Amino acid sequence: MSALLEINQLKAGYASRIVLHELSLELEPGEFLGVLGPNGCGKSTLIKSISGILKPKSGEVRFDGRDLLKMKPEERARVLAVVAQNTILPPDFTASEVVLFGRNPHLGAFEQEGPEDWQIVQQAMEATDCWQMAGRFVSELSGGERQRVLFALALAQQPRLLLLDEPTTFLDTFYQVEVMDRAAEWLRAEPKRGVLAVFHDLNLAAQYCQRIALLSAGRVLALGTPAEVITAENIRRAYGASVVVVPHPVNQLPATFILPGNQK
Amino acid sequence: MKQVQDLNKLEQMVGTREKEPSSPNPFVRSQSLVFFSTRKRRLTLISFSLLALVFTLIICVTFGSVAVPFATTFKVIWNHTIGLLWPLAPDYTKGMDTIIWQIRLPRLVLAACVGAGLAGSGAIYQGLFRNPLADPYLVGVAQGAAVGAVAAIVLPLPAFIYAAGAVQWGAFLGAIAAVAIVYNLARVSGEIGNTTLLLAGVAIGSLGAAVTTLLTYLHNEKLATIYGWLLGGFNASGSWDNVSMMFPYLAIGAVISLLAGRRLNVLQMGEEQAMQLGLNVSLLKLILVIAATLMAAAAVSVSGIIGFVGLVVPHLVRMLTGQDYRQLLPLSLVWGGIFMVLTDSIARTVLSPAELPVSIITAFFGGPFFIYILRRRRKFQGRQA
Amino acid sequence: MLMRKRLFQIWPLMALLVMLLLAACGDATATTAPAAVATTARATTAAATTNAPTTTTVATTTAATTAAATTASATTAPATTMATTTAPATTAAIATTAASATTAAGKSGPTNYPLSISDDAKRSVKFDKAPSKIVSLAPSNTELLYALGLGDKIVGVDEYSNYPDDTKQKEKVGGFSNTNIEKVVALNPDLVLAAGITSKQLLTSLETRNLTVVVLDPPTLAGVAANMKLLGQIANVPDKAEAAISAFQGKLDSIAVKIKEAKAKPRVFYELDPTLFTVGPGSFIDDMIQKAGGQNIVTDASNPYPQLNQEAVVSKDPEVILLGDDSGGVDSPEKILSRPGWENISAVKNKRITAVNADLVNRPGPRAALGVEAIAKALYPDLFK
Repeated sequence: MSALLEINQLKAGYASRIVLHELSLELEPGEFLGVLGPNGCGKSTLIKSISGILKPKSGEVRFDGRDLLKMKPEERARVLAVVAQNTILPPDFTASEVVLFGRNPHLGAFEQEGPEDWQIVQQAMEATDCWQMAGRFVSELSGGERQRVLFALALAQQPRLLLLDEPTTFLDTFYQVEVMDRAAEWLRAEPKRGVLAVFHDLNLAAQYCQRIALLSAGRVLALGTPAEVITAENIRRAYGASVVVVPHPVNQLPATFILPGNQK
Repeated sequence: MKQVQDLNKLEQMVGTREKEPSSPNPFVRSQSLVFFSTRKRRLTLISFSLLALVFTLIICVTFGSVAVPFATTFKVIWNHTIGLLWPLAPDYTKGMDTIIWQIRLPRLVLAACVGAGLAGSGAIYQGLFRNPLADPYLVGVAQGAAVGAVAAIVLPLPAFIYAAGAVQWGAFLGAIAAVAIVYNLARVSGEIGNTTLLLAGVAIGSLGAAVTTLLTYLHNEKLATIYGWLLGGFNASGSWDNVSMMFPYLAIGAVISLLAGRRLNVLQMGEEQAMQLGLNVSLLKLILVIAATLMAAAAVSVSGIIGFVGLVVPHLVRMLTGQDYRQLLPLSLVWGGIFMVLTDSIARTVLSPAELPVSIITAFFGGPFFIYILRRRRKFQGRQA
Repeated sequence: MLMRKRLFQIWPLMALLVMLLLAACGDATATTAPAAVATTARATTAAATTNAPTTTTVATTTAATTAAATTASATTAPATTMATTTAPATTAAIATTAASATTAAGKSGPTNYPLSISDDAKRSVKFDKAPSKIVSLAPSNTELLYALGLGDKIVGVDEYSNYPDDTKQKEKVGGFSNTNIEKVVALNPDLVLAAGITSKQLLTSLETRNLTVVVLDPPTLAGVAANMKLLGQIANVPDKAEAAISAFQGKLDSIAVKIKEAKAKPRVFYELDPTLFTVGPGSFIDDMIQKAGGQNIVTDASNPYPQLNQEAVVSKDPEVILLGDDSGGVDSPEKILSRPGWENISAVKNKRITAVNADLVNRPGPRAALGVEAIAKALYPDLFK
């Protein structure tokens, strides 16, 4: 079976600095792939390169065999959606109006939203449990509620690939779990879908990902199942931090504990 | 699959949070003057506004320095339009015909076009830069036009070039040149930074002001003419010629405004998010800057510099009908026209037979009204921090 | 590649600079006035006009000027001037001016010093002896001094003074808004003749340097004669003053006699600029039109230089249109003939549009009589052949 998302020799960065050095990664259909790594390792750059915000210097990104980088923005937005941290929400719009933005890539140049678009919005909002706040201004919503709306926005795009860029930062535990559960649920609902998630939190990644790529300085340091990647040695090499990794008491997946005062 | 079951278990351990009570109708916006914007509501608002514009034009065309009865006014306009097919008996003098059809009506129509152009371009700039202070003058349109017009006035141009509308073209090209410079200055590695753009606009604006001042200073003898142009107004410029000069730019701008509404809404999410939502942001910016600049430059070239409209009308519309650019853009165009027709009617009648500069009226009436709406809204919804 | 991009970014700036240079070169005086002058003097009028287009009309009319013609720029006909003249605070203070001189007892006796006089700005000035070094700050003053045979006493003139030819040899002290005070002081004059266009700031500045300043700002033709008499007294040349007055008055009288033959006074519209600024009662030019046997279509206005509504111009149906200027920035007679809506105006139908020599009409000096004659010729071409 061929990969759903194929990243080949991707080299990307900014005017003065190359962040990703010929990075290669594959995401199988139905896979929840996590990306871990310290600040500045290129996690966000990876998301930006795939989603078309940043033009890579070289390399290719293929989705289902098609070149993502050569797609028009609206074409790409029909294939993949991004849920990020700290997204700006225009204050004067209601939650449902914001979710409606997700229909933008599906509309032609001269087209307006129709009833079927509204239906998709309703479904997306019901799926993320925010339909009841459809008429509220997004400026009135709490952080968790905003993240639900943003998730609904991504779903309204009807993508096949979901990119999560640390979407749980600043959320409390309840909402962290909710967001990740939802992503997992969405992934299972249909075959040939994929989730590529960037994580800050090692434990969250361990719980949800089938495979994890650990990045360091723009290169893949380790790739494999959570148990293979999240080891005390790997974490020390990537983050320079001393941790203890033990099996989770319920599901035996690796659980990381920090050791204060042991930074080197 | 094992993982999933574990997840369910985990959820049980954590416990589920209580669901929020659902409101009976999620589509009704709460605590606001504003209601949910459906296509029907949008069309109603726009048609109502267009009717209001026509009504304003009809009312305003009936009064002026010279008293012309309403019936006569109606007959004159009828005979020049529908009456070309079914004429009514002209029981009025040639002079009345001239005053209504050659002077008053074109002036009002031009005022409507200019108001629409300025307000429409203001709304586009505000949406594009996501900055409530943006307006055509902030990116250099006014100062660029002033430099062009003043240069055309003071340069020793041959009479035939002057007669071909050198001042008007000077203003038009000056405005476009200024925005082109600002846009190029703001381009940092292919991207247009909003802050850079506004700063470049301010810088080029001051440079333009300095050049205008210098030209005026060196040509003291042309001061009155320069001053007359800078004051702005429709007294001398209100002709069908100028209406037809301005109209194509306004039409282009209006069509683009109608098409851009949905995309400007998405752009309010921020540029990166908008790209991820399938928007070609740099292309959108380029097209909208061109459209807005053409509208504003054409407006300024026929009317001189009339402040306030481009900044305030879009805000008034926004406060009354919400942020949705699909209706904000067309409504700004129409209400800009209404605002300008009304203020110009005050300008041409209050001191009759003398004129009052229309820019004074726009600021005089628009300012307090703007503050009133702002305060009223604050009181009504204290939600905005 | 990089080079190309750089060039692309700066070309509009370069174009601006070239325009600026061209504009500067277009004005002959600008080349003689060094940049230093521009920087030192206060940018009073120009800055106020460009930066705040909404300043009131009155503010600029005061700042704007009576007239000034640049020394012939080679390209066009003598560059002439736009006159938005001094705003006369007083209307008919003139008859009293001459009489108010304390020693104005007899017809024309030699002056007894010390002499105390009151000028057009109601300032009282004392003289211990006849002045021997005079600086004139306006062309009208310069011409007045020459008319009284005081040309050899002039040590400095403003840069717009261009008549008689002898003026060219005189030291220049700057324009109206950029008078070089240092230069005036260095010339060590015992009389500085200011005018209505001289700013208050400049007056104060000159007074604090203990210079004797007299303001000549005649609101009417009679005021010009009164000022001749006043100047004759100050400089102790009563006979020369008498002669100048009788020449001046003689010219006016001969015009009055000629136009007596006319049956009706033609209606006159005097166009200052294309936005229809004109002259009204209380202005010097309005008085000239009256004396030339014309009837100004502006009979009531809130200020002497009102902007007239286009409808009002058409409905008042002027029989003659006079243009105060014929250089850039204003419309030519041909252009006015083709203005939409103006085709029924008598002056347009009969092609009676005349540009009058700005130097003659805009300067309240001895040649104003010739200005009256020029207007009378335009009004009654048959009587003046």
